[in-house]
Amino acid sequence: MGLNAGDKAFARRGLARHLEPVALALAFEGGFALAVMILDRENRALPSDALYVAVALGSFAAAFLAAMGLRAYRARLGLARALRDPLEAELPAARPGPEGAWRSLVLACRAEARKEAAARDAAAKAEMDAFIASVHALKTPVTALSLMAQRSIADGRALPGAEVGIEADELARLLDRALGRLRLADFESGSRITRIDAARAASESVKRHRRILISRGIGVELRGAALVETDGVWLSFILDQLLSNAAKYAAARIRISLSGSGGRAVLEVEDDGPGLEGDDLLRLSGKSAAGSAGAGWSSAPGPATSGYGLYLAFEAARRLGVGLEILGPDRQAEGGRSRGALARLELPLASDPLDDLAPA
Amino acid sequence: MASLKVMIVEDDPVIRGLAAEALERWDLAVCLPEPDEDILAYAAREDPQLVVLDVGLPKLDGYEWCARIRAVSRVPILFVSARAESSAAVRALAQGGDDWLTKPFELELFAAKVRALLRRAYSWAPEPSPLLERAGLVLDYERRSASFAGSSVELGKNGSALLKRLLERDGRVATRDELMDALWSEEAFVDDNTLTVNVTRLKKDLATIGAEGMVETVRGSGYRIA
Repeated sequence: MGLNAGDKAFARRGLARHLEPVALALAFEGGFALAVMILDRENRALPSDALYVAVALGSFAAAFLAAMGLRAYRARLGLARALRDPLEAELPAARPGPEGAWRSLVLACRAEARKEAAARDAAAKAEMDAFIASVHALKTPVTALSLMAQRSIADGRALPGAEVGIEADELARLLDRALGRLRLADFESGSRITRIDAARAASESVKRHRRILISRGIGVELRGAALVETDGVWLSFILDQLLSNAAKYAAARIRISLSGSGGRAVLEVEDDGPGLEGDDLLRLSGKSAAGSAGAGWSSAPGPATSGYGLYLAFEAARRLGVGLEILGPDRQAEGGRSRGALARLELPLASDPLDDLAPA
Repeated sequence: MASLKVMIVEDDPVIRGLAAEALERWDLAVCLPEPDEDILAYAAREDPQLVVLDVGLPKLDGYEWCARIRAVSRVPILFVSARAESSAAVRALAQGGDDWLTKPFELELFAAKVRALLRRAYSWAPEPSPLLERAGLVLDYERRSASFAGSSVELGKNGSALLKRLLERDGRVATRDELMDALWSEEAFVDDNTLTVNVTRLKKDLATIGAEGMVETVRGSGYRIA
């Protein structure tokens, strides 16, 4: 099947559009080099003239290229519109028979595509709402701190150190979560794989939560050790989300255990709280009820931010290429323990555990 | 040896003041340039033995000042930044920084990092931490031992952490939460019941050197050194 004349003209125009800026840039560069060469040879005493010509040519070329860039950008916008439009384009009327069948098939495909796009848009909007709600949540500890300051000024008493500490920790956690969400968008450029002492990372995360844990009377048991290969900052981010969730819901105890075998390290964070039910688990892991991955955050009954930290932990784990699952109380009881939520993180074990630790 | 001088380049006055205070407690001299002045000229004038550098500064950022300092000096540089990405820390170290600390930080960790860098660069041996004492009961925290009336006893990690916090309160009540905090800093993430067990063990250890009754229970709030 050949191209008709219109298509050929269109292809030619497209080709010209791509080659034009390159050709012109080359021409300018050539002119620029030539000018420098001539001026340099003719009159060695006036290098400033050559510089002047070079700058003038250079700026003209830059202005031209910027204009071309803008044109290319506009063309891309047009292309996007052209790709979107077919969903809306009017289909010609069809005669009964194969033509009619074809027409209804096209219409069905369009309906499916529209539904998917709408679902994606809804998930993105729900996620953005949760993000904004999580930023608003920063106001709670700020308000608490402000009230404490007002009270201490009014009463002429010192600030209550322990309470201030708890609020400041909460503020730091919420801020880290929001910044983590923003950094997720630029994951590749910000991450770096090194050898990490996972027990130490877990211990540091526990310490970051110690004020809230102590005030809630929750003890933490940390067992095992493993050297893993991952990005230390993202691992800490994930651990912080898991611990902050456990600290919120645990009744009296959090158990963190580390083990390694067959090239994989398993880090478990288990609390003795009420645990998470099936629908919540699906929602947090970014899976739809049908089980398809990557459907994204979807709003569910309850406060908009409930579980948002865990959702971000899943997103970070997915980008980091490590496994994360959260099991509810209905999981198979292991050794009689079946209460609370259990988060299981699977990380690549560092290649040679006998090597020294890389400096943190 | 005259006390070493640390230059703290930080634009937030509260953080700057608290950081300076934490170092002065370890007998280190500090100098604090205004964040918008020429840090390099100031450093040349003051000749500090260590530089603490914030990344976000008004005129040039910390990375840039670090590169300029590195062009003329090998003084140890500790970066302090609110940025948490690995790449930010990597960039700081690539520019010639020696260590990295993320905000918000614990003052004790900050002082420990500064001391470690000074020790590495100048074979500086800081004065051993002063012995804590009250009413004849002395704690050597580094050695984890307590002595009283000529005899001494090993306390272990948790016991010495508890006694340190109690002696620091100097007769005032240390709340249960405060003592828990002391234990958690030593990676003993215990719950409230275990605190009671640890205090009981400490009391028993102190009894062996005749210091029974020095740790007093204050009903409903915590413990104190009598």
